[in-house]
Amino acid sequence: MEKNIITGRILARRKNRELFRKNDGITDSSSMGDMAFLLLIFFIVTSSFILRQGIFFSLPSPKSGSVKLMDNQIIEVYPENAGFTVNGKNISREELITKMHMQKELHKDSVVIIKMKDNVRYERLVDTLSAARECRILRVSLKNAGGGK
Amino acid sequence: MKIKSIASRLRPIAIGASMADMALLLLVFFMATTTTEPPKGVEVNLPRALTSGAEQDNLYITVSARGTIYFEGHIVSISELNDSLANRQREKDKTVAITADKNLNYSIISEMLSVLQDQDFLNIVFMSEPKSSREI
Repeated sequence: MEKNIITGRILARRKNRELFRKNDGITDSSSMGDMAFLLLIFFIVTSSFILRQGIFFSLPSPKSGSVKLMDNQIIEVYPENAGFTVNGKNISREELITKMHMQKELHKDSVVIIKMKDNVRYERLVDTLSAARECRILRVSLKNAGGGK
Repeated sequence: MKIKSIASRLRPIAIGASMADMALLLLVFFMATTTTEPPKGVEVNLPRALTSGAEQDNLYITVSARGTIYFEGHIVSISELNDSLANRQREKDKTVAITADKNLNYSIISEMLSVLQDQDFLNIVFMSEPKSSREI
């Protein structure tokens, strides 16, 4: 009987020791590190550092009214599939840039009016917008050459 | 002699906790900077221009060289684009990124712009490839 009590006590002590060992306040962080490294590898593999670039353009609100502009403030450009037409003359990109620079010097608040024809390539519109940006002309108006908006 | 005996008793220990910290820091960096590929629908040849960085939180319209329009990666007609934009009026402050093929006729872009204007999506960005400093 006494023997059984002693063995019982010994077993109880062992159990207590095991429990104490399990909850001794130390957490194993190695699995956390492994997870972090796995996720890190995933993000390194899948991420792309290619920045999307573009030309910002704000369309006028349908409710907005008309704006009065002076004649010497405006430069009207008709982009063509080859070159540009300004004042009825077909000019190259370099000539357009020179004209825009001169216009900008004449009038700080110059406006470029781009009149696009339906059969002209989209690339020509972007190029004209880019030319205006290169000359630091910030006010650009886009119209259809055949009339309309 | 005593020093030698102490040195011989020291074992090299690699502390892994700092490694985990570094990994977590790098992980946070990558999570913050990773950009997800926008829903294009089709590959296009972009025009080249003097550009500025575009925002990530955009609505995406892609137009192929044949004039097929993709809105958020799905093929749509002009009228369907109009309906889709009408259903997303809450997002009208977002920028609409137009990714169109450089050889596309302007007539399609013109139609699209009037739809965007009608639906009050006024901030747009013409996606393009940046010109190198030599080209400017």
